Amino acid sequence: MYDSHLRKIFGSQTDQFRQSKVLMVGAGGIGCELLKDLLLMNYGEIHILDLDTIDLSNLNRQFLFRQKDIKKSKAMTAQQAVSHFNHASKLVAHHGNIMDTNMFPLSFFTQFDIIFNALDNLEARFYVNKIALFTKIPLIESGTSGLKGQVQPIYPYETECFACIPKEQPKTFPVCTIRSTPSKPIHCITWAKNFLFPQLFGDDVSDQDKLKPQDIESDNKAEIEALLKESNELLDLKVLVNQAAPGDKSFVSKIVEKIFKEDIERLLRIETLWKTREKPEPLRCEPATIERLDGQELWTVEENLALFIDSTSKIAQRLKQGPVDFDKDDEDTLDFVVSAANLRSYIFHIPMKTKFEIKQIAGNIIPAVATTNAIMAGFSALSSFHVFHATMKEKVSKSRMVYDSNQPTRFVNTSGLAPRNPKCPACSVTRGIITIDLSRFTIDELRKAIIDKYGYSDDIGIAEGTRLLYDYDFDDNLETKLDKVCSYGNVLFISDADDELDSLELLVDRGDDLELPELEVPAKMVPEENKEEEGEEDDLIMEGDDLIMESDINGLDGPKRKAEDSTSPVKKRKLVADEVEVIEL
Amino acid sequence: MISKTLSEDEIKLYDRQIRLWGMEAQTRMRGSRVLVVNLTSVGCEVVKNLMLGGIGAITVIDSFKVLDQDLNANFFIDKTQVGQPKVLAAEARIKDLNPRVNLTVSTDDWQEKPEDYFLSYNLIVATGLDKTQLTRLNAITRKLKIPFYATGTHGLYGYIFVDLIEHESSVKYEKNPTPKKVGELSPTSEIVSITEVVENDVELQNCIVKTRFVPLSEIFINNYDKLKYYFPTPRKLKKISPVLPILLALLEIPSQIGKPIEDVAIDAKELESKVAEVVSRLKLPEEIIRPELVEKLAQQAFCEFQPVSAIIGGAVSQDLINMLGRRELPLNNFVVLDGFTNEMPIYTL
Repeated sequence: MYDSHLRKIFGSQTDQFRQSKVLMVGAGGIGCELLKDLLLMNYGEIHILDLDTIDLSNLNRQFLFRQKDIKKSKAMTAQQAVSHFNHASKLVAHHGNIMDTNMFPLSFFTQFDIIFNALDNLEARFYVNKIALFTKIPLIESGTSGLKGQVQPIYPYETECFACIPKEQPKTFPVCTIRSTPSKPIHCITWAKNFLFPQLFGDDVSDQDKLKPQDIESDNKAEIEALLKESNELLDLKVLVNQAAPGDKSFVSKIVEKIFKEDIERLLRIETLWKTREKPEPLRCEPATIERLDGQELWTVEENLALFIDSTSKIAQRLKQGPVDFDKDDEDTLDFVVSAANLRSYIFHIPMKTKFEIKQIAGNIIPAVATTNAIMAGFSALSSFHVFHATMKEKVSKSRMVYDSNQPTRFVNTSGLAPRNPKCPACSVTRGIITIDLSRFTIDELRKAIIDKYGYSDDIGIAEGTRLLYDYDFDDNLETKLDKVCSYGNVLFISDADDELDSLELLVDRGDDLELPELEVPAKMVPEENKEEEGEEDDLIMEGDDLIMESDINGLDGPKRKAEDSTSPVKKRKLVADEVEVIEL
Repeated sequence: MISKTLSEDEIKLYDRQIRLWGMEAQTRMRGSRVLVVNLTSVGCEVVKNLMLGGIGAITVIDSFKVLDQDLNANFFIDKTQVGQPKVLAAEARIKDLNPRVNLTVSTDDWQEKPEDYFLSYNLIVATGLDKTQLTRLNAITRKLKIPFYATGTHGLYGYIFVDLIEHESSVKYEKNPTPKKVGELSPTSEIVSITEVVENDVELQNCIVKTRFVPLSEIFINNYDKLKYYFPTPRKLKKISPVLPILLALLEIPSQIGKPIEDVAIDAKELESKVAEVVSRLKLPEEIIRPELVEKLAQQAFCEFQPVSAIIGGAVSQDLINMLGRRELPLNNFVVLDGFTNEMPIYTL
């Protein structure tokens, strides 16, 4: 018998694997490994879900993919690649985004006994965590970054959920550091990628995106004026870029003249900036003649300048065919960022970096190896057999969280599952699933049903995401049918107008009638005095996307238990309320 | 002689791992030849990881034939291949993982190979062998100065034994709050030299650490009270995993791999007396003997379970890659995996 090993280890529990249906979200580094493990455990039905396609740089670890599979769907390719060793499982592959509620409505999730997360981003992780909370399906969460990794089994409302411990926010830099006083290579790379690139090649900058004096976070009036002037002049350069004739590189010398000479000279005139800093030196050199540059080596400033001219004119030509965005795998855009960052580093006496190094920082590349993925996927699969214990108490007490260790006495750290955080923005919220036929009911009918069911004393507010559907100041839509304002898979946010009862989240699921879940809505906690947060040094935001430091991007939090978050649920809700926009019909 | 630098294609293919361990380690991997003894479930994992990582050459030697039960433990074979020699059945799928790696397979019995057969390898990984076999192979690797890994699994449990003889690697430690000094780091390792570096604004000490290992024949006896370093009090000694002595005792039972698992029957009482022997030789407290756990391991002995193979195989491969790249502290020298509690302690025996 092919499953005789399993029978000897698990006895009759072997059949429980076979009778279970599981969902694996992500068929990448951890996913390929996990799929293999789940198949050889003979899980009855495994759904593989991924929105991504295969890339060359995946092949060093995602062992189900080959050179010939590049650009194909990960989920579909993985399904085919395992067919020869799949003896017991029904496999279903889905090429799509887990957060797409049309493709994956609630009814899709409720068919599963266990959900395995093998994701690489925080947004999707938080989403699946929320789905697990709505459906109470056990979730086994995992993540890796280089040699680090972790596995966290989550029993919704019984143990800590993915949102119970605040995740580290991406690191950002003050605008003035990026724009006038860089001191590290990363400041220059951020400047090249997030400031200069969109300024020269981005869509037309709207008034909203324009630099405002209050954004600069500097008390230095002269600096603010200099930066504003610089910004206006950049708009002129953009016109040059847009008008560049094919083969004409002369416009680039005007760009070089301005951003690497004139802007620097202007900064130099603000003497207060350089009292404690080394003064930058405006660029004075001629481009080298370049043919092919080695990405592993440091280039001279002349070589960088030549590449800057070359890549800028190439991107300017491509803009005539359509928009060009920065992409680490787009050589022209990468060359632009590398050369611009290095030229700026040179000017500010900061060490230059190789293209290989800058690609990692600008492209948020996280090192990844097969071994860590195999190990963490193994622990994820192992964790799943505790789901089959008879009682919740047993499931929770036998399960362990696993994370990497650098101690010479243990290969991994383990800990019991922590209880849920009462202040968690996700699992401390009262929530349930409403089954409803949206085309049959109006907002007012829903409002009355909710007030009756949960005992809100007077009136409630209803919002979907940041869109307000109804509150006592905004009753225009009361007679509107719900299918005009929301859809299945949406989460409705219900708040008490009298602030007596706690808020409520209702996930909209398709039904024939209107059926509200059985829930106890507790009294609202009295909000604590909101302390003003101390301004942190690195707290300011660049325009455009923030620069995300490695390891944040895949949501690895590590074993550190941080002090409780200042973002209490109450405060978070206030924030939501401030941001609501009125829907237009 | 192969070229000393990596080609542009190799750099692109191995990009995500080069960013972890650097070009030099990657080049060293490409220059290495590894022998894997037995294509067990954990053997498959090691082979997969090393193929993906871009080792220069791998030889897999295994004289067994594919059994039905292997279909649930070996992802390189399919059900039409039952009865065929295992390595021949798996060869094409292994090769397909990475055509750049020079793969050879052999259906010979490694025990009949002359000593100089092993000479052409920089590294040997043995899976599923017993104490007698391991002692013999380890004697050869010691004589030929070849780093040696031995590993096996029993159901939810598994072990890794490492003998790198003597190994130097660079290890980065945070300088603060307690800076390292040149000299003894543990009873089996010492810091030879220190260079200070700053990475991402953190002050680090890059230490060259020399680690000494012992052959397998010495780990069953607590010769030098090495355990005392990490377990200085009787109370701490009691915290040693009760799985450790059982795994060591199971090594004394002749290897059962390649047999139908239904035919493998380990007598729990007999195993328990072997465990008691190991416990007394290692001077471990008697409380560490857990009859119910001994019974469980007797039942699961020689069973292969994919997630356990993946963890053990991943740990062996990672240590082996670190070793080739001369980075990080090596595993020294006995790792235990308890797949029920997810604990994975490392003991210096």
